[in-house]
Formats: sequence, structure tokens, C-alpha cells
Amino acid sequence: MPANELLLQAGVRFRRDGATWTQDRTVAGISAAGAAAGTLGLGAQIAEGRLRGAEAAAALGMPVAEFDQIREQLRQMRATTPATRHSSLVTDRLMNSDTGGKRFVCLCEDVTEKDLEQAIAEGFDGIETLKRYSTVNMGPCQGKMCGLAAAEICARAAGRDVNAVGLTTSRPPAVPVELGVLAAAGNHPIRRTPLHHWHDAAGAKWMDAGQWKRPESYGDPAAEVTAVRTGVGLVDVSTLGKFEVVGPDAVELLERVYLNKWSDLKVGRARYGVMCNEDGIIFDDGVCARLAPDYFYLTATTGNADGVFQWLELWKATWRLNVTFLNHTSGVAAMNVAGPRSRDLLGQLTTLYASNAAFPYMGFREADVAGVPCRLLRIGFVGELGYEIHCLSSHAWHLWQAILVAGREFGLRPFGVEAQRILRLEKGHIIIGADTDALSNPLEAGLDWLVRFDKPQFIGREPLVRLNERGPRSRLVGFVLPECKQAVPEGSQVVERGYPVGRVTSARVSPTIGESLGLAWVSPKLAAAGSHFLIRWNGADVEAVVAELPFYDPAGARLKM
Amino acid sequence: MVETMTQYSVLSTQNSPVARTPLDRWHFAHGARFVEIAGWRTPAVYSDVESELAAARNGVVVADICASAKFSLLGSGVARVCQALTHDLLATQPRGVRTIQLGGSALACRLSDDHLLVLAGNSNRDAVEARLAELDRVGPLIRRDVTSSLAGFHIFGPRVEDLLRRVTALDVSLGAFELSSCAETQLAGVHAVLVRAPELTVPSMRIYVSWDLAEYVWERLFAAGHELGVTPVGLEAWERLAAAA
Repeated sequence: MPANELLLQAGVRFRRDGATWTQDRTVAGISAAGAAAGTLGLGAQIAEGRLRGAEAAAALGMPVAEFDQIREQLRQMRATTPATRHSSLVTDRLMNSDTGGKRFVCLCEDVTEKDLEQAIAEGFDGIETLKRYSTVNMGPCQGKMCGLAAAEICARAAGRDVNAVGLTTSRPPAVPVELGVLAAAGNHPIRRTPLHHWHDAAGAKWMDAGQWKRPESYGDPAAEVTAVRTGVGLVDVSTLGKFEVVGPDAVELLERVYLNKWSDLKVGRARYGVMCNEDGIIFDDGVCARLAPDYFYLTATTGNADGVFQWLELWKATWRLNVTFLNHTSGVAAMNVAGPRSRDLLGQLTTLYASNAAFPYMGFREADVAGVPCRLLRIGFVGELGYEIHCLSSHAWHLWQAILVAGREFGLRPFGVEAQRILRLEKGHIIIGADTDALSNPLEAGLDWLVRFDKPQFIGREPLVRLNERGPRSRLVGFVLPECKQAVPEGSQVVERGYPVGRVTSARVSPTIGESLGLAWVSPKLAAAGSHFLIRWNGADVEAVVAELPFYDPAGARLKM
Repeated sequence: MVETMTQYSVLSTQNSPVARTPLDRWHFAHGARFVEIAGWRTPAVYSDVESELAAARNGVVVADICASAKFSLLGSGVARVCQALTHDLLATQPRGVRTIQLGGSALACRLSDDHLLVLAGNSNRDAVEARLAELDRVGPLIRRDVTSSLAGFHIFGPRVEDLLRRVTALDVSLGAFELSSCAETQLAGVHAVLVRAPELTVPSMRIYVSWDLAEYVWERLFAAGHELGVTPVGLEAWERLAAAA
């Protein structure tokens, strides 16, 4: 697709002329060079660019002595340019693809060829109405990749000439695609944990988590879940953000950025914390441990680690607090040993006395594990007795291997992100960014228990006070599908009398409980346990029943065993 | 692959903890012969030392120096630390690099007014750390061992600048990026620290990036330098060139 947005905005119009797009209507004072003028071939385009530049200079009264030479150069270049056609990456892929899979036209908005044909069949056969109905051309590239393909598909499906279909209206601002973006598919940074190649050799199915590569599973997520529930599992959580907060104002800072209380956290203990932005919207969560009176170690979510670090720096500077943050996200690896046999396994590798009394739930310890200096957090995102072990990235491979070897007698099984998501869903733990969005506040997300309104100040306090007085407009609840043994797609609508009133954020079939369950945002009147609501799925409405959270081990006994 | 990986795993779990660089698997896959130094498994040589030295003298080569000690000092006390370490004007020269002798050579790299990066070898790590600990009292300072946070590569040979120009927009010519200086910049789309010091007999540049991005940057260097014939070299060739300097 020619980069012709500025020309279109100036009033120039184009038409398909055989294999190329050429100017159909020109505007005085506006000239174009290159593909936008119908000129193909790099040499001819450069020569035409020189010619247009010379014309512009001459129009300003500047002497140009090379007109004839440049014109002759352009003529020769055009004569020797091989015949070709205007095309786009998307058009070429569509024309040459017969894989039978989805054929995406708009890569920004996930619009397929089938979507466009369906929209045209429903009567949206003008390019402008097709755009508004299907959202093709409406993504960040603003039609640079898909505009030509959309026009050609519209023409073909509507049985009209492509010039009658035309192109969508171009509006300011015109933002060019940087050459680096087009050339840099192979230069997209990839972050790898120190255990990346172990996962790869073990047959990991990969998933992207921001720039990170994470093992989604090793082939059988349900079996991985069962291993954690009945024995012991091991997961690489090195992608978590990891920070130290040090200084005389460390407690004061934590009190202000987290919703809950930190001054009463004892040394050697850890606590779950949630941060909000100034609007009371959930920003991030993690665990924070106290190493000394003015020394804390905290984790943040994988996708928001950099954001949390910047957030802390911003507020430190704003409040002029005497505190320092050290970012250990890349230098420290982390792995979680979880399951009823995890203490037995740990006992094989460390002299740390890990009895329930000596190292209780939400405790923090420093000890050597397999000869490697480690920090250990006894926490339970997956809902079982478990230890999150942090060590230097350079020692992660050794530690992981040592745990695998020691774990053989306990039936240790590595597990991936998919099993982790099922396990935490069974436990009713939310994932920030998946179960919450840019409108989610802790009072409605079921995190009201940790909001300490008795603190004089924390980020988001005032809007949360008002929200608390007003009452919830929505609730994040757990649900089961009593008549269905499949998981509904995440993002499915919760409907009431045919209208959308909420959405499903997480849904899986639980290998442990044997039911299809999930989390969904619903209206408060539907939030009580036992309430029924409907989920729209494949054109039909599936009945869901609100369930008490957590689905698994409601007393938390397995975390504290 | 599985057999190779098993062999690799067995190699790497024997005895006491062995630290490994983020490129350990890459080295193994490319036929490196390893040597353990100060608790680190490092590639000693890939083919033979003489070939690697010849490549370094005629083209451009890359060495994995992740295992070398690195210390970060942050805070307003950095200027006084610089004075104490170098006894020269480095204290007033951000972006300056000076060689210091503390049980062997080390580099003091003044990244900014309040940030000093000290690069040591494995042999003098303890001496450098002890000296820096002594200097903790000179002023407000946060000292961190960042050896496992920052991955380090040393690229050297007459075509170093040719290679760097393909991965960074920073002007790396000697006129713009002088000997004994350092810079923070973008390289292959990620944040990197570049250090140019008079430490080898051929032109050279050290590159430091986040540990988790090491393999990505390493691969980009090899992709960008393919036409230049870039090759990896082991510790033996690197030390021979350093000793001759």
C-alpha cells in the first residue's frame, strides 16, 4: 500500500490502473513521488523524488540547473523497471494462502477475510460502512497493512470494480510506519530465563508473556495439576519482578503505595499486597517480605515489573522519601516447589529447619539449597504447601537440576503456566491484568479485605472511599457450569435478557474438582452464592451458578499444613 | 538433542554449585571446551587458540565475559569513591573509564555523576570487593554485586566498529567515542552499556546488557556480523590478547 495518507488528506484521489494505484485527481501545489505517484522500482522512485524536489525548489524561485538531467534519468529508470504491482504483505498472504486456516486481513484488529465476507453479506458492502462494522483499518496501522486488501476483498465479494469501492477516508494525524519496524521482525527482543533451554529440551510448549518466553506446559497440563495436588511440582517463575526496598523511609513508602498495612509486618514474614493507581484502579500485586526493619524484598507481576519499578521511583521522588530500590528482576531467578510433598523434597536439599512451626505459612528465610544461597518464601499461589525459592540467575540451572534429582523419589513433575493458571483458579486467586482491567477496583474484585481505610494515606484512597460509600456496580465472582463439562471461552459475555451485563475473565475445567468453573464480572444483584446467570456461548446461553471462593480448600488447610 | 541435553545436564550438576553464564547452552551447542574458573563454567576454546587469535587479529570476534566480576555503586558518594580509586580526574568526568590495580587490573567506569560500574576479573574479585567495601563510608552509596545481573561480551578485532554500526545508532568511531570512555545506549533495541578501554592489542569494546537479554543480543551480534565473519573466541585467546597488551 503506498504511503499516501498526506495526499489523501490534501484531496488527491487514487484509482486502480491495472496493476498499480495511480492518482485519479490531483490538487494544485501537491505533488507526489514514488509508489504514491504510481512509480515503482527503487531507482525510478529516487529519481522522481529528486525531480519533485527540484520542482519545489524552482517554485520557490531557487535556481535548478539539473532538470533535464533528472528527467532523463527518471525516463530511463522507468523504462528499465520490470513490470510489477502494488501489493501489501496482507494481500500477498491472502492471495497465496490456501492452508484452510484463518486468513487474517487486519492484523491489528484480528479481522479475517471471512469476517469481511460475512459483513458484506449482511449488507455492509461500502468500504466506509465495512470499516465501521468490522473494524478493519481501525487499528494502530490505520490501514497501512490492510487497506488495499480490504478494498480488494470488498470489490470481489460485492461484485464491483475496486475503483467503485475506493479507499477509506484518511484523517489526521498521518503517522508513518518506521522502517525499523518493517525491517526488525528478527530484532524483537526476547527475554529468556536461565532455565529456558531446560524447558526447551523438556518439550515445553512456549507462550509469550510480554518479551519473556514462558513454558505454557510440557504436554499435559491436567497431569501437571494433579502432580501438584497429590505430590509435588516445580515451576519456573523467574519472570516475576523482584525488587529490594531499602532505607529509613521504606515502611512509609510501602504504606503509601500498597492498600494494606506494612508497619506491623515482622522481620522474617511476608505478606500479599495490592497496589492501585490514583483512580483506585488495581495496578499490580505481589508478595513483600521484611528482611530487616528498613529492608524489604518484593515481587511484582511478570508483565508489569518495569512499570512497578518506575512507579516506585516516581512516588519516591514525589514524596522525597529516603529509600532506594534495587531491581533484581534479571539477576535473580525464582522457582516454586509446590505440593504436599514439597517440604519432604526441600528437606533433601537444605539444612533449613522447615517444619510448619519453624517456617510457617507466609514466612521468609535465607538458607543454602543444594549449596546455593537462596531466599525462600513460603507462599501458595497454587493453593498447596509450597516454597518460592530465589537465587542468583547464574546458579539457577544447578539449583533446578538438584531439585529435579532430589524430587525423583517424590514423583516431582515440572509444570507450566497453564497448570499454574488452573491451580490458582481452583484456589480463586485472581491474575491482575487477566481478571482485572483498566476499570477494576479492589472493592469490586473481591480484594476489599486488604484495603485498610484506617491508614491516613495510600495511592487511590480517596476514590476507594467514595466507591465504598456508593457501593459496587459490578462484582468479580466464581462460577460453575452445572450442565457443561467444557470451559467457556474467556471473554464470553454474561447476558441478562439478551443484553451483555458482564464477562468471563477466566475459565477452565478443573482436573481436581471435575467441574467447569471460572471467574466472571457480574452485576451485584447476581453476585450472591447460588445465584444463576447466563453466559452467551456459540449463540446459545449457558447457565452458570455463582460459587463461594475458593473452589478448592476453602479453609486454607493445605497451605498451612 | 535429548541425549545431548542429558549429557549437558549431567555435566552441569556434579559436585558443588557451578555458576554458568546465560550463553552456557549456546557454547555447548557450538563445541566449546569448558574450563571452571572461580566457580564459573566458561568456554576456554571453540576450535583452537591460534585460529581464534588469527580471527581476532584479522576480523572481529566475540568473547563471553559474563563470569567476570561487576560491581555497581550508586549514590552521591560516587565522586569520592572515584577519587579514592583512581587518584585522577575521573571523579569529574562522567563517561570516563580508568584502569585501576587491585590485586590485578580492574576498570572503573563512570556511567553518570552518581553511578560507577567497576569491572574486575575472577582472580581479583575479592580484592576489588574488599576495597569497595572499605570505601562504603565515604558517602551515601549503594554497592551491589551485579555479576549475575549484567551479561558481558567483549568484541574485538579490526572490524569492531563495522560490527557495532550494524547494531547501534551510537557513533562508535574513535573520534566520537574515545578510548577510555563508556556510554549507555540502545543496542539491538535494548539498553546496553558500552566500555572502550585500552586493554587488548587489537581494537575492542565491551558490551553489557541485562542477563535475560544476553542470548538475544549475542544472536543479534552474530546475525549482524555474519558478513564480517564474526566468530566466538574462548577465554584462552582473550587472555592471551590481554596479556600481550
